[in-house]
Amino acid sequence: MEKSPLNIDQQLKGMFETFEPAVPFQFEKVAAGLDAKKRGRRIIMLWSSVAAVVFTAVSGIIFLRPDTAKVNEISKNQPNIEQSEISSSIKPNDNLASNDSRLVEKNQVNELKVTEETNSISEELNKPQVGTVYSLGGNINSISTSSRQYSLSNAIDAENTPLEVVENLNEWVYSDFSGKSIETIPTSFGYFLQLPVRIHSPQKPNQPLSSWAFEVGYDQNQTAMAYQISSGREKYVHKNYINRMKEGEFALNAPQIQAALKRYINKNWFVSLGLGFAQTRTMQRFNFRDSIPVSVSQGFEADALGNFPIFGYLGLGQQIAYEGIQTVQMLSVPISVGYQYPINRFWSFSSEISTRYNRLFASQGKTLNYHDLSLLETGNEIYRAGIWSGRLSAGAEYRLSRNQYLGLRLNTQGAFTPFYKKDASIVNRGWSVGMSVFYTMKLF
Amino acid sequence: MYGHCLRYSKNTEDAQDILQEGFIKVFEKIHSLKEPSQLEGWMSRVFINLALSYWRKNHSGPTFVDIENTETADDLNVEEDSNLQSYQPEEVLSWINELPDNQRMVLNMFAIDGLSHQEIANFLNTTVSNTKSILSRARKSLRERIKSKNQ
Repeated sequence: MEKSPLNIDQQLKGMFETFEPAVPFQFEKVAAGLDAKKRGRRIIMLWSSVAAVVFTAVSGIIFLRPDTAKVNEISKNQPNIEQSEISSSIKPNDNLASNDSRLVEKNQVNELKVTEETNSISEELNKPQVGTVYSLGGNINSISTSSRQYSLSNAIDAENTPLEVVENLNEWVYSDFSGKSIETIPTSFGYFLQLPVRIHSPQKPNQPLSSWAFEVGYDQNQTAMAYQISSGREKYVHKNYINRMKEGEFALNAPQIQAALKRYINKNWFVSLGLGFAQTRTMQRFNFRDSIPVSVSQGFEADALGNFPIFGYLGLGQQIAYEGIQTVQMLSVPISVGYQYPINRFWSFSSEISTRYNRLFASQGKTLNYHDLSLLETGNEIYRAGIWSGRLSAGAEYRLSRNQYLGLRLNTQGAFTPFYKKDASIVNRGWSVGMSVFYTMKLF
Repeated sequence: MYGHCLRYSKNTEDAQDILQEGFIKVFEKIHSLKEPSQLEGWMSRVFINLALSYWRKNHSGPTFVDIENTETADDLNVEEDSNLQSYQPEEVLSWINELPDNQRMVLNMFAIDGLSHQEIANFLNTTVSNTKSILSRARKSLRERIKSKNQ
């Protein structure tokens, strides 16, 4: 028998190299189940993000679509307008008008007062036939500018009027009565808005009614944190911190909702100021033991989290076993500059660049202490209260009606300011990419 | 393969878990095996790596190394070594499993699976001298157990 300590190693090797105990039966079934479970988890993560984006888009469309249906329904209910007195049958507070949010033009018309009648102009209006509707423009222009009322009775045969004429009438309506200081506008214009025609102004899609608009938007992004050691602070950070975070932190979502007031500078450019709610969610899953750092405080300054430089490592520390989601919620004030370019009558290219100030108001979850790899509660103690970030987005905008738009943009966002407090040894910045859905309503 | 799993886990349930996961890994990665003749060795490596990862994820409790009392290779000269051949592998395995976690792992990795001290140190995030120290203690503890059995 050999007496070297290697002997025991050799004996062990010889004994266990060929050691093969009986395999427990039916483990294949469990293995299959385990595999399916893992795949399922991955699929859920992916599809939950996709579902959120789709849900938002569909919700937006559903929210807006009924208006079109209403217009059609209204038109069906009043098929034979030819036989009625248009000016008298449609009153300023008619339900048909007030219920239809798409017909903002109509509301405006209804709000304006009919002041007086001028018989001569009324006669003039009664003269032209359907085929000469174009000539009405000039007449009514003269009416509006002279603040007089007129009657459109029998002026237009709605059933027989060609579509292009109606559209041109709309053009005429919009171009002559959009937001100007008009005191007298015929109430019967409301009738045109009920015609079974989808109302679109032939004006270019990006031309605003007024220079102001209101916008609400929702971002569904995938997010992650980028970690970097501050310059000259290498000794303050555990040697395996970056790797541990890479292994243990997973991208999750960063939903964001915001409302903004837009001001169009010209037909292409706009600026906006808003208020939003932003949230970043990342998953942490740690299960490891790592070496214990040895640091010396004498003669050195602590960083923002009270850590001193590391001079060596000793043995293994405690087991770190944690699985959770870190949530950071912020109120944000975005300031944006945007550009939009009409592609055709309905579609526009739309892009926006913005900077935003984010005020952190809630934080939950844990992360690793970059000094000793212990678990650290995230919150105001370690994070800054205010963070500046930037956002770049580009996509398309679809014109729903004269003053309403629905858009979809790809966006990328990143924080200029790190999350950790000033003088922390780690610089961590959030970034995310995803989709934005937004709805814009131009104001009158 | 089940033997590898048993050596790195303290109980049969864990070993079975590792075995299951190991076969999933093997099925998933089988295309990366270039030499079919090396299947057994390749599979062994897969199972050992998985068992080590599993241990790293699941073992708990601090492991402290008393650097001052670190034994060196010179301290390992013992008068009488134990003869393991007279024992069944299951019995020896139960003694190994009674060792502290870090000693059991290092003994398995070094003595049986042939990993170098550097590899072990990298895996445990510690130094080579520490792994040597742990290995010395593991051998000593195992010898003591065998001795006590013999008496």
